[in-house]
Amino acid sequence: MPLSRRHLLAAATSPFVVPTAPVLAREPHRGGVLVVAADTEPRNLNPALVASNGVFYVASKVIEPLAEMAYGEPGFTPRLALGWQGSADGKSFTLRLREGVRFHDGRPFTSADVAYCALELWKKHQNLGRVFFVDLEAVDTPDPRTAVLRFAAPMPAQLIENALPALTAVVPRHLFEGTDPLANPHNQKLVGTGPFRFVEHRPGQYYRLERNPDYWDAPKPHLDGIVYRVLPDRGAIAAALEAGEVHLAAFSAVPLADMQRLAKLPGIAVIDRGYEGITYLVTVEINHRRKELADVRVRRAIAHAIDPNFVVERIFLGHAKPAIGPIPRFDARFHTADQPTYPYDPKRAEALLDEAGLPRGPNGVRFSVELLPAPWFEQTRQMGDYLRQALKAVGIEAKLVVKDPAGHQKAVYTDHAFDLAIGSPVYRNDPAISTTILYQGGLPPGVPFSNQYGWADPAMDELIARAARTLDPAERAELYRRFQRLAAEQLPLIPVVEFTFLTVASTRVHGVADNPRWAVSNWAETWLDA
Amino acid sequence: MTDLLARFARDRAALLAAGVLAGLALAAASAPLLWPLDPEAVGGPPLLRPLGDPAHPLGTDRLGRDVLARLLHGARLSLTVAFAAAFAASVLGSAVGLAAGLAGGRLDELLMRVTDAFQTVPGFLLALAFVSVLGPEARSVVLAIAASAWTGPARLVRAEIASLAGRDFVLAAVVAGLPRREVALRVLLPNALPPVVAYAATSVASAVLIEAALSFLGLADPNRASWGAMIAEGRAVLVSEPWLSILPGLALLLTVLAVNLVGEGLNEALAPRRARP
Amino acid sequence: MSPPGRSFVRGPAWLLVRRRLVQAPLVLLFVLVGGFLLLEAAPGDAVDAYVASLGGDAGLVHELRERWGLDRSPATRFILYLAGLATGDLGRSVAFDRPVLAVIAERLPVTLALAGGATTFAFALGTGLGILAGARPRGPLDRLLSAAALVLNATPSFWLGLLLALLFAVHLRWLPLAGIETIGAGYTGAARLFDVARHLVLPVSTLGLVYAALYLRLMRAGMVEAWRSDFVRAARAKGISRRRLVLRHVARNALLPVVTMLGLQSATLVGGSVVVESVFAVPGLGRLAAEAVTQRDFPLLLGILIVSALLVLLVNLLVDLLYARIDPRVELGARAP
Repeated sequence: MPLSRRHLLAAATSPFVVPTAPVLAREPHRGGVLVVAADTEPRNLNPALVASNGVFYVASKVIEPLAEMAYGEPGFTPRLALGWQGSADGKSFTLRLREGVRFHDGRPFTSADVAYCALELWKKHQNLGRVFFVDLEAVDTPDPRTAVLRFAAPMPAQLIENALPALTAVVPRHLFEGTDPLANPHNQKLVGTGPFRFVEHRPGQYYRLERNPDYWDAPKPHLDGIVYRVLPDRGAIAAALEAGEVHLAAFSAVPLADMQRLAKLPGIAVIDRGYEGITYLVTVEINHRRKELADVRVRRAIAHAIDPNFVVERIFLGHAKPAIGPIPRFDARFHTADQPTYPYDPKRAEALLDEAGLPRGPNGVRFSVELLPAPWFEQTRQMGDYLRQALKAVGIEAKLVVKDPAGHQKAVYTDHAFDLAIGSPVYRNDPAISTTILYQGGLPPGVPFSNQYGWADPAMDELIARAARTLDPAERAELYRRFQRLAAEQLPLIPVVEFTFLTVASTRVHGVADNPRWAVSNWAETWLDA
Repeated sequence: MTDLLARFARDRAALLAAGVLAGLALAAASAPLLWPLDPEAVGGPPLLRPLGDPAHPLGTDRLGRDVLARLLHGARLSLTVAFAAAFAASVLGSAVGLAAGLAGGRLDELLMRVTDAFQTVPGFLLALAFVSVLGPEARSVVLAIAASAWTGPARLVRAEIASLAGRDFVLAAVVAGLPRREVALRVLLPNALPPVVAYAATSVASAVLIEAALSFLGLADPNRASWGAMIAEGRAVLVSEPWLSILPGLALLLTVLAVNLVGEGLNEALAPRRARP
Repeated sequence: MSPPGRSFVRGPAWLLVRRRLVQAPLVLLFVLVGGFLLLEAAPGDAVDAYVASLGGDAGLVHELRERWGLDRSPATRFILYLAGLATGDLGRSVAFDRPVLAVIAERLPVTLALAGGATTFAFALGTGLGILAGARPRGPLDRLLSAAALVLNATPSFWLGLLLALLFAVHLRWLPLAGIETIGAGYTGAARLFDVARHLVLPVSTLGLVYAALYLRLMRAGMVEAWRSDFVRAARAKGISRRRLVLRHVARNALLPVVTMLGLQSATLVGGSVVVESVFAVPGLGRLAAEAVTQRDFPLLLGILIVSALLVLLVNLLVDLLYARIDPRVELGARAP
């Protein structure tokens, strides 16, 4: 049975955000084409192979997962799976699948498709699934409506359930079996079970989707179609919204500073709900191979030198919260406030640095570092600018080194050619999916967004391994609470703030932000005014 | 030389422009003395309007950094990068163009093919690629811009030489027994230079704008303020806080304008020599 | 001009063309090697660029490198590329996972339209106004036009583009904001042409205005010089009418540097429009090339360099041929290869 989940939603903090009421008295209007701004065109659009928000943004309307996230209890909405249950020994997980579902080419959806995807796609090729499903041995399909995942080692049912929205997209077996999945044309010409069908992609210009008239949740979707206009330039997106050429821009595609101005315009609303399920963190990544930084007092000093409120107010314009540990507050099942924190206290920082045997030199500098901010978010670059000043104030001289994404990836995660870096990992509904990997030791170089810091703690590794295998949810939660405490004590990396994104949309668009991963869910409930 | 200067001085616009440029350069050089605020200091009140607060006469940006300080320090970077790049490009290009135009035959062919090769790579992309490889420090940006800009002067000089070579006064010099080197340096080169000088002014202008475009794409030296980066940051709030882009843009405009006027003044000053029979 | 009665095929012009055709492969090779080396020297490869956007484990990184042939040595990869090139295969784009030729073919017409339109606009406007300005140097019209040109020349194209977009697309709503056609409208034939043309007005004007200023200044500068030349003085002494003087003698002589500039600008056909293409979301080669660098997509980048190189070689050839027509003193044979 899907587990209960307490839902914590912070009230909108900014004065200019217009909250959307979750249920409107009005009837959804059927028809209209929603025009949305897109800024990337992934080379592989198949979410069964590539679990990333950039892919989901377009593909999740065409290809559905087994379940989607929901606000409140039980926290999940059935999609292709109606119900699920883990076995007592944790070695199998039974899925009860939906009836009467057809793929866009008319063929029926059955458990055989789930079995194929799990074994051949998610486990073998998917970026996240390769690690997640490493112990998946087989998938039994006793009948077309039932699939049983069987694992070589126990997997907590809670963990698998948490992974359902992001890691379990289902594509037709009959189109992929016997082919080389990575080279299959249906990685671009998507075929799935979703409320929208893929029509065409004009590279550099747009993606076009149209209503699936045979959708299993008919009469939905309300929209006739969706068009994703490729607009890589953010200034162009803001202007397109103003000119009415685009109805909606998600993932803070409009620069934060422009949002205030846009929100004041009639006919445009700024919505900050709908991203809690994909909360990001801004972290200061630390290279422990550097002698000074290997000392935990120095790391704590750096934490004390940072004022998270400045980052929240000035860099995120209020659309962030100071981070307490690597698990965001939204996930109340695991997050604990009971862990060491390092409030902004430059004097304490200086005292710690002195204690660590790193006094200020004649020119006021204790030691110098190279700081590499991640180039892909404006906010991480600005965090770099801020951190440089914050460190200067306590006597650490930082030189900013900015590279493009490929260069940054290589420098930080492969060559380890950095002292400090600014990262932006994402939390995916369970610490075991993409969070504990930031603390796990023994990883080979070249693995992005992982512990490449030269730090390893056997106690931490043991905690992580146990928690990933513990079947009882209450025990698991306790283990992750201990994980957070250890992480905060040792501070191998410093979580600074947690942030989500904003959607800017015309007030004609309704059914926005109705689940915690709205932008990357299927938009069957979205509609346009007449 | 003195009558060159005298001719230059006759063009009042050029004189004024030269003055402005000198003033800018002086301001840039003495920036910390002129206005002692730290251009990188974040934490001040953000998005102050110009002329609002006497402590920040030109306002502040989103992170609270003082705009006036950033403009002055940005002048240093933009001016040094632009002049260094244009100078390097002009010298290198003129040398190549002269050699090609004089030598003719195989050497000319080879040099022109090399020029072709460099020209087929779009200048901005070459700069982008260089900066991706070498990093966004000022040195790499200068190298990158010069690497693509030298072809302009090279072709101009060569074309001028080609068209001058058949002219009477050149043939006269050759017939009079002047050695080739003398002909090249004293007769051809001075007459071939005016377009290069005019182009050099364009080079500086385009260098400043290329640097701005590179910063726009996030490839500026993040440790220093630059006008290009300021415009890039201000671009996000162009409609609500336009001064953040307008001020550095005006600075660019002023500089480029001044450079072009000086260039034209030089052009005029050098021009009369061409008409000599 | 060229002596009457000389046939083209035996004339110096043909020799020039032939010589250029022979040299083109060498130029291309030089460009390709340079481009390849530059990408190799850049930190990180195509796999790094790709995983930076989505994460993955060590196995995935390794598998991708193998799949994309990046585990081979640079020399091997380059030779394989050249071998493919010899059979007319431009390779497969790593970033797009499609044949390079297809990707480029999609974007080339757009870039040609944008750049060609901008160049034509700039040339016509610039030289036209330049002639007006240079007809009476230092006159009031000259001062006004020169000042305007100076200001335009100094304006960053992306800034100009944004301002024009804000005015004409957002506030006035006269023109579309971005893209090259109205999506889903399904225009065909003349209606489609018109739709595309409408979408190109802003980007072409942005690019064109910046270049127009350049041509104006050059034309004017050339005319000022030409006024002083013996050739013109002689014509003046002959008492030719002012109009004829300006157009036939002064302007014609001033065209040389302008025509040179046309040749120089041909390379910017691809690269110079990068920023304008971004601002107006025009799917052109400039933006594609910038992306190829960021994604370390060397087949795509080299493919674009080849196309750009061919364009430039062609334009330069035409420019050199034009020289001979314009300036009778230029010898096509010995001096101008």
